[in-house]
Amino acid sequence: MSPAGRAAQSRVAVLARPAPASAFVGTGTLLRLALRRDRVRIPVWVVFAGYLSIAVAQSWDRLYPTVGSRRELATSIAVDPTLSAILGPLFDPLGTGGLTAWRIGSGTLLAMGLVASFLVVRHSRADEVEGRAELLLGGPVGRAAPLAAALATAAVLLLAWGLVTAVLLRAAGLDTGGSVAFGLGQACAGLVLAGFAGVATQLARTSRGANGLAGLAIGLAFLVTATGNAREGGSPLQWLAPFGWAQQTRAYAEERWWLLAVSVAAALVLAAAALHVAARRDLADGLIAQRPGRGGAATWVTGPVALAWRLDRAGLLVWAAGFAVLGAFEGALLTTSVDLVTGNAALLELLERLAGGTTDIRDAFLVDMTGLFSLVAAGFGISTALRLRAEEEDGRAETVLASPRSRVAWLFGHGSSALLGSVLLLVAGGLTLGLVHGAAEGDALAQGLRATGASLLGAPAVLLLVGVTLALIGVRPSWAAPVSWVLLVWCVLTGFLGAVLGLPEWLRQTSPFGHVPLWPAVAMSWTPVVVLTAVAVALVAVGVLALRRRDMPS
Amino acid sequence: MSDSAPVIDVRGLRKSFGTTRALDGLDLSVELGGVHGFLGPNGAGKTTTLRVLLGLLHKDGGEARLLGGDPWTDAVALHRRLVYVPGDVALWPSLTGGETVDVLGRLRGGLDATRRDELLEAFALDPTVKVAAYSKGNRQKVALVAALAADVELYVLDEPTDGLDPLMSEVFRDAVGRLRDRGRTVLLSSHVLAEVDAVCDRVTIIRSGRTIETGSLRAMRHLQRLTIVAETRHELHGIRDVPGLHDLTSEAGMLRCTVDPGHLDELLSHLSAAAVLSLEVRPPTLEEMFLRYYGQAGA
Repeated sequence: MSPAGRAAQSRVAVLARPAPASAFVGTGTLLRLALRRDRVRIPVWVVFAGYLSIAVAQSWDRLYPTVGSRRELATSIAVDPTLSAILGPLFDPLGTGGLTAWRIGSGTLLAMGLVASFLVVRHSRADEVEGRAELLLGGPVGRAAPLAAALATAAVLLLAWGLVTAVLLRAAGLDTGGSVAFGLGQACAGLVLAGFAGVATQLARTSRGANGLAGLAIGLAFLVTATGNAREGGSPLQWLAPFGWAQQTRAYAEERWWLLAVSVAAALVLAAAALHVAARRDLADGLIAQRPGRGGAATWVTGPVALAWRLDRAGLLVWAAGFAVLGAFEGALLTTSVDLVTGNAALLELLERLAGGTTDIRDAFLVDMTGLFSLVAAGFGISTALRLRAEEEDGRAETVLASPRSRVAWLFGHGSSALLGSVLLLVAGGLTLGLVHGAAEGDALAQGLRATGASLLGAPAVLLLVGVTLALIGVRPSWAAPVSWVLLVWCVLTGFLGAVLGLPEWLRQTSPFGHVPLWPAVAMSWTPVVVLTAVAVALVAVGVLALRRRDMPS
Repeated sequence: MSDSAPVIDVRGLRKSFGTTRALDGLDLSVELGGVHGFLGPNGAGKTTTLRVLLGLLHKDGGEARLLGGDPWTDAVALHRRLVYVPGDVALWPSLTGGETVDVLGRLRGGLDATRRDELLEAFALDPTVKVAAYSKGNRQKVALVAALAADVELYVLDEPTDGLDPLMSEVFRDAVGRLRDRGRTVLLSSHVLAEVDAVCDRVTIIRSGRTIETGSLRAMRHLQRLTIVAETRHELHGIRDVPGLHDLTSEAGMLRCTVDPGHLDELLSHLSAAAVLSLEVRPPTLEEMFLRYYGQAGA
């Protein structure tokens, strides 16, 4: 038998091992420990999300006070496949509840899924990688208890999130049944996404690997539902993934309560599968077999910068593949949208009026789509730059800095892969978007270059955010992670919900993404590109200068 | 469990990770009461063996019994009767040392508060400091305090003094001595020979996943060559014909050699015939035994 065949056989053998007695002993204590560790994080998310939901709910009466204005809104939504794909069908365009659930549903569920998944990984696989699980499992703690406690902690977070949202929406004057259906529908669908993370922790051996797999599964689930929604009148794909189950619960519009049971059942199946493995596998093992690596370093790995690229390589490739998939999806969506609108002169006129006049409708859709790329790329850039913090905290930075290499070289290790890598992602997303759309139109190359250009215009804003992270790593390292992530969340909020929340224009302009030129939908303006790039460069320079003056490790 | 049954009984244990064979027919028998040393160089399989005994790893073959039970299927029930300190102690950075000791204790259903405070004092550990601010040695102390504050039948300690300073190693030895006096069993893996010499009654020595020697330190020494340094008035003739001599150097009336225990008598009659001026007979140090087992004799 081939080595690969033997490896696969040994993986299967793990599943057939005898079930240990009392695999769940200690779950309660570990759950309390996890809640103690997350006693700030969980309430912050729940309160923040609850505030956001009532802020959106209260905006509709101000923005669209009359039935007429809401009907017009509904028409413009119905003909925009991008919006329908991402946010799902709008079941009740006239009611405030229906509009609120539609507007915040999929975005909030995406956030819930990611937050819950990272939580599950942090309390299970991460503890194992760091060696804490060995200490626990060496005591009277069942082998599946850490994962069971992690999943239970995620369930506490999600149910609190859903229930607080429901209570606040009810308090804002919305229908009780609809509020509960919305809150619980989101929470139950979130449980399925947390279940993905539970399975991911049993497949991968590292926290990054588990987080990556969970993120991938959530992204795919989102794309499946979005593809189902994109077809006019919907398609069966709408019913295949948790995002669809949450949307189809139809909060505030003849609720389908039974879909909550579908979500819960799916979550239980995923949890049971993950716990089955957890109770039977070796400590630190994962179902994905470990391949032997190379015996020596490649010749190009010669210093801190090359080392960082070697470390970040796998992650960057996975992210680039993700951007390519997202780009292809958006490219196909763009073709559908353009076909739909250009076949209907009345619609075209309405949309162009809403968009502010002379704009080409294809370009208007295009800049919306590439705007999404830059926010996600900033997420990659920040997380990669923050690896510098992990290097410092875990003591690996000392090893590098004790060699005859400068601190600046060290900073530009993960720093350069964060800066250049995020630009690369923008290219990957823009190019595939343009190529897929252009292939349908018969001018792949021209559309590819055009979309790549539009996507790259987001780069200065992305680099500015990464620059903030690098500057903080120099100036105030302990603030780097929290400030960077809060800033990104702020940018996402102003970008997607700024208008709905009724934020004043000056406040929305605090986001660097608010200054990105909307070419080709709007005439090109180079000033913001130059200014944003200059600020980004200045921030990196601040990081370099401060790093040379501070203690290491801080 | 009857009194005669060993606390730990491992026979022909095998475990592989991919193509790497970590344990290759390892035997380990630990009797009730006393301190058992588990010796081997880095990568010999000490930690893997302990992890199989803790039910953290599933064996590929062979037998492993712990406190009369199966380490894999009965893990939780067995863990109530033992404590384990891993070689690499990792803790939650945001908890304090005191919180950590309590959490670990509560997982076993609580710990003796007096004993906890005594141990914190003995190890000079400030329980209000967050784990993130502790050095490696202090993290080790947190785990040791949590373990030693528990009253159980078996203490499994993987390289427990790695990272402790000599003063704290002494505190640790005292604590282990008290466990022995109370009739508890301690399995202590180590590559620090002085520590094993100081606290262990019996040792098992392993290499490349196999057991190469096991028994009491005293008995093992008796089986080992003695080192002889002698000065004689007259030239030694025919000394090279004496059986059982090794590492021989002889010049200007000074003799250095090692001798197999069975041939000491013949060597002594040869020496006295040449009129002994001074004589030093030294039992083997653990280091010498160790090096001989690992085929690096004379190093």
